[in-house]
Amino acid sequence: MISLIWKELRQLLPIAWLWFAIILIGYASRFIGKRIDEETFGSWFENLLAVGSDPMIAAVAAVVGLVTAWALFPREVDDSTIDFLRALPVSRVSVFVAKYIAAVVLIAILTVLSYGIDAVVLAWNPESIGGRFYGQAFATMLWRDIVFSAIIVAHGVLISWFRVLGLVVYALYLLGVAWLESQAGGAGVFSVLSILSNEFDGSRLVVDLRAIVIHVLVAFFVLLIAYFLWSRTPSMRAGGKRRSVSAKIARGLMSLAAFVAVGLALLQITATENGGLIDDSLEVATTAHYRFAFHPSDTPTVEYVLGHADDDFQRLADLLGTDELPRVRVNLAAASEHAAGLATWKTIRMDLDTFEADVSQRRVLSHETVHVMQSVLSNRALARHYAATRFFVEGMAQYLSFIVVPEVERRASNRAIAAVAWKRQDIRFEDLSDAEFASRFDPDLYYSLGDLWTESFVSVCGEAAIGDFLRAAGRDDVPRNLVGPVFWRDTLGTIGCELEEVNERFRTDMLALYESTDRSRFPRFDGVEVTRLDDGRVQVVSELMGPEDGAGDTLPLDVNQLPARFTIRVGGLASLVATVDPVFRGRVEREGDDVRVVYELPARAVPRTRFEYQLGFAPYADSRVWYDTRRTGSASRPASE
Amino acid sequence: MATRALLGKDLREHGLAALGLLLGGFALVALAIAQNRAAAFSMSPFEVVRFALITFVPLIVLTVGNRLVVREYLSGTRQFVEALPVGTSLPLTIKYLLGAGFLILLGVLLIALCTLGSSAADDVTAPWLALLLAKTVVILLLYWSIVFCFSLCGHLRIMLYLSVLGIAALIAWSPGIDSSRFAPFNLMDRDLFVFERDVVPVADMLWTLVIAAAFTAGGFLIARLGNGAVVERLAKPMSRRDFVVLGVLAAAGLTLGGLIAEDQSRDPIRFGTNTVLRNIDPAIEMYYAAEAYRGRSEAFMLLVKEAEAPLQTVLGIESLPVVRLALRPGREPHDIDYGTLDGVYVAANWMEHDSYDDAVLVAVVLHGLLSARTGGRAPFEPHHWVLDGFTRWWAETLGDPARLRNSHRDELLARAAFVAARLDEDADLVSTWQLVADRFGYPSAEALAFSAMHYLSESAGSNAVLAVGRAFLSEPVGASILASAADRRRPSWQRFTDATGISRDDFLRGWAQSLANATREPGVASKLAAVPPIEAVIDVADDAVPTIIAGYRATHGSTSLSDAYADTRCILRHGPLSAFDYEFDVDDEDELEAPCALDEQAHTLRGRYASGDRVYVALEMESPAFHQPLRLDSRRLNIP
Repeated sequence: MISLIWKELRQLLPIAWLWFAIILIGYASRFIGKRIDEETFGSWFENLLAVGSDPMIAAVAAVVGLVTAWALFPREVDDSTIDFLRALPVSRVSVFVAKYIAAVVLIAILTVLSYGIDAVVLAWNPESIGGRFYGQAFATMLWRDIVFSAIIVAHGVLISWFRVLGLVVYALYLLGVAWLESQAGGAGVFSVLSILSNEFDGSRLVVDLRAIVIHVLVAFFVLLIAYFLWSRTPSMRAGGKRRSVSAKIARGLMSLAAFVAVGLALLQITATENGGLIDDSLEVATTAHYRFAFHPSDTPTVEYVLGHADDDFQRLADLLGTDELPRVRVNLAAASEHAAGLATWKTIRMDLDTFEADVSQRRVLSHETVHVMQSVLSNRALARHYAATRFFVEGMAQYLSFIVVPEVERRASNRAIAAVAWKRQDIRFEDLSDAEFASRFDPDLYYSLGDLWTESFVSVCGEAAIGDFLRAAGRDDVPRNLVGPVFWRDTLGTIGCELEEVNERFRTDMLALYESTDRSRFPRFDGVEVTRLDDGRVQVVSELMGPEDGAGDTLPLDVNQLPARFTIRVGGLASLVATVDPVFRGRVEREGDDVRVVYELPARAVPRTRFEYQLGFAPYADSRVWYDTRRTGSASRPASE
Repeated sequence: MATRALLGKDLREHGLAALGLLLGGFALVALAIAQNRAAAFSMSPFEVVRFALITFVPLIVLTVGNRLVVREYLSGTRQFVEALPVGTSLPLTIKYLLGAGFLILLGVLLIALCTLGSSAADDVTAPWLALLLAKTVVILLLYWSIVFCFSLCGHLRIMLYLSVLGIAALIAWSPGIDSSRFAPFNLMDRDLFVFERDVVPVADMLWTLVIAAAFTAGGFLIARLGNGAVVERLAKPMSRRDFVVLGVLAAAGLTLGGLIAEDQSRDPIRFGTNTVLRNIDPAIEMYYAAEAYRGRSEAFMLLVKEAEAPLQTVLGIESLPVVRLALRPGREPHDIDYGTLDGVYVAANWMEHDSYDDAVLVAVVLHGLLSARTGGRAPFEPHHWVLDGFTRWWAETLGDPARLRNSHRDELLARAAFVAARLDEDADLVSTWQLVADRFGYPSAEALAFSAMHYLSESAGSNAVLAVGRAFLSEPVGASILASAADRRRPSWQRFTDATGISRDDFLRGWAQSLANATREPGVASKLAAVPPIEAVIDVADDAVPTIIAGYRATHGSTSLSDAYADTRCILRHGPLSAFDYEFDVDDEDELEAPCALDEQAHTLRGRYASGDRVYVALEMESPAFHQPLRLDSRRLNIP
């Protein structure tokens, strides 16, 4: 057996050199641009050890595993060299196992080599804190990556029997995982990528053992099937060609049936969601600037929106100082639990179920229209600097849409929420323009704080400044490599406006707004307890405290002024697709003067032990939700699992 | 006739595979459409066209190239075809056209399926479909031309594919490169590819076709060069020499890429308003917000100018970056923003500052200047104590020890003595600087470093301090592994000894003694006496709700604190830590305040952190005797 493995390893040498070259190029590129003795364990493994799983890393590891597996059998069968092996006095099982072990050993050697280089690099950092090395996490990553590769090689050995068809099926599997994530929020153990999911207990890397065990068992089963297929496949010279033609025809017919069935089933799914392959039930109406598609049942609302659409459009164009008026296509028949509206280039989709009032739909249309104009006027520059400008992108749309379509109560409640969050969470411009804002604070604050910042911006720089900013951002000679803060100063400098002045005005405006806000509707959470219930659900219980006074001291909780509803938002579980974090309602429980809020999360929302969440409440009826800072919860799985 | 025969041969050989690929593509597109429908932020099923073109379609194109070209050229079976009286170009042309035709068919199928999955909301019109199809075909032809050309390069093709992939990644993701200036990238723009209906990107399409034509021509050229000798040579396994040549080319490419990525120098952006003070040499700009703040701001700007101007001369630095100072009137005096992305930028409120606070802020500015000067190397731990100590010493003395104010000296030495008394005997400025700053906070670490420079100045003269500054802080350090190696060639203490002529042990011994002596000076002793005789106690309760408990106990066995500490505030500051340690300073966003009393449970933090979290907890006291909070102790906790 050992001789067979050695022989296979020798045969895999070309591919080993390829992986070796790629590893070296990867390290060389890191060594050229960085002083690597300043790298810490966390910075060096920043992506590999991010909480959750990174699909790009998993994809690279999977490609290495699949390509290596592909080098094991297909060529031997095509070139008929498999016959030499079969002529040896060893069983076909031994040949099969030797090939599989050789591939895994090769990847294991490369993995150890790569991690060895990492260890040497990290050992070079002499710093007393930055130079710390985490042996448990390092060793765990090492063995987990090897196990993952072994599983992928097993998949690769099987799908290589089906050649291209196998790749297509594998791609279908991955798309299926993505579809499951978009449907259920996460694919759980169905996704082989879950093996690479990171969770930490202190500095200890905790692997998903359940996922590993399941996928190892699946891989074992897959290997059995692969052995069955490959051991019965004759080489080309041994008559495989003649037989393979019929096999190919049979396989082709099976594939045809399978593909047609899968494709039609999928199209049926989309058709069901959309009311038909071509949804003839939608009606279309046009105005000077818009083309609307909508369900006939929404006609009253649409008539109201249509009645104002062109005037609102023109008003927005005037506010932005432009006569470059794009024609916009609007899908009013979209269903989305995530957003009232979305805009891409000159296309808008809106979910009319999000708001009750027609005037709100009209304002959402104005909001999304501003996004269209932002893209056109700035030549999509804001999208290029999205992390640094997102609060302004949304804030500007809020600000202008509220001017064109005033919704006084909604805007007031949004602003009150923003003011309390601004003060309690000490949010500054540097936070607003930071790429990590959404992971540190409530992403909805992009809208309300952005609206307020835009107002300060306009009061300092003038009404025309918004349109001028967009045009300045999109000018041809603007350097494309500006980091966020420099982009802001560069663009504002071009229109003769000073960021410092805007930020100072924003601070004073926000302070005044905070002082004038009735904070009795903004209690505070404290003493949060997280428990896994016997049925797998997770219970989060928080005590409710009174708000702070001007000096920062806690006031008594006014039980007659409790928020309209309580919610909890749980960190997303998807790794392949962008989804929106699921939100669940909470209930208030009282015991004498003590008030607690109880949230119960379904088991699927917390598939592992630790999870991220934000507690929140809607301070007023029909208002947005105010969210507290992000927290981490810990709920062990039930013993039965 | 020959054409038909060759066409028939290829169709017989690859027809089934082509059907399989089409069916596979069909299933993938159908699944992608289903996924698109369910996705949170999708706009139209036609987004699948672009998604397909950048994900699985390249794989299909690779497969087509592999079957049509690579197999025949690597195995040498092309020679059977070439032996026929049809020449060398015709079989290749047929293969090219077959591949292109198949891929165009795939493109049509792709768009047809998306059309089937669309609704009236997608406003499917013939001109728009034609535009989308034209863009798709252009991109497919580009893919196919590249694959066709590389497929004729035998074993070299893998390297070529990797190179193209690397170049594409560089263009797409390098912040220094504007990808929209490259026709294929602009054509594939995320927004415009599907959603632009009115503008036909003629120039981008033509340029992309020109690139495709160049690759196609390259393929035919390779096939014909030396009557196919080149193709034959490329079909043989690569020799070691080939690998070496490729290695050199790859290294050259990477170096070039690195240079492109690093070439991002430009002038800093200036303040653009009237309420700005400007100084030309050294280059300093100050935004002072309003006329009411102008007088105090001018005074502070003068301090910065006085500190910066001679520094350049004494350290032998030819140029320093622009300093931009922004007044933030609403801030606490010690709430400072600091950045070196675009010159040196410091935002703070200096309106309520006294001379000690001014010195703190001037030191911050100098810290930024020298940090930028060394390419960010100065804050590296072996150098950091020099950076902190030198900048504070310079801010206090401008190189003349006689300028050091006694009150500043007393406060700084008291802080330093407080820290030194709590450090292990073998604690070393070079190798434990981060630990010192982490445990006692940056103000105290800076004071400790200042005391070292102060001792050096007193024992060996100001020139010794300046020599240390020159040795550690005057030279730019590059950003590469070689730069690291060059900087680490001389150990820090060796560098110190070379600059001052004082050995490490002598310096540390003398410095420790000087600090011990300083504690007996009345000014320093009175500051130290303002620190309550307490030590911090930090623990995590073993409770259902994770609870951090912190407080204070007496250092000398007493049971109560005297009224002398009535003005002293004790504060717990906390913040979440990542799983792996790095330099970190807790902000004052999350804090709990309690009277300074002998209470081991003065602060209780219940349910704020969960089991498995890592938390930084610091206990500090604020006293009128000290300008900045004095950190009593801190810990990095794992919540069980």
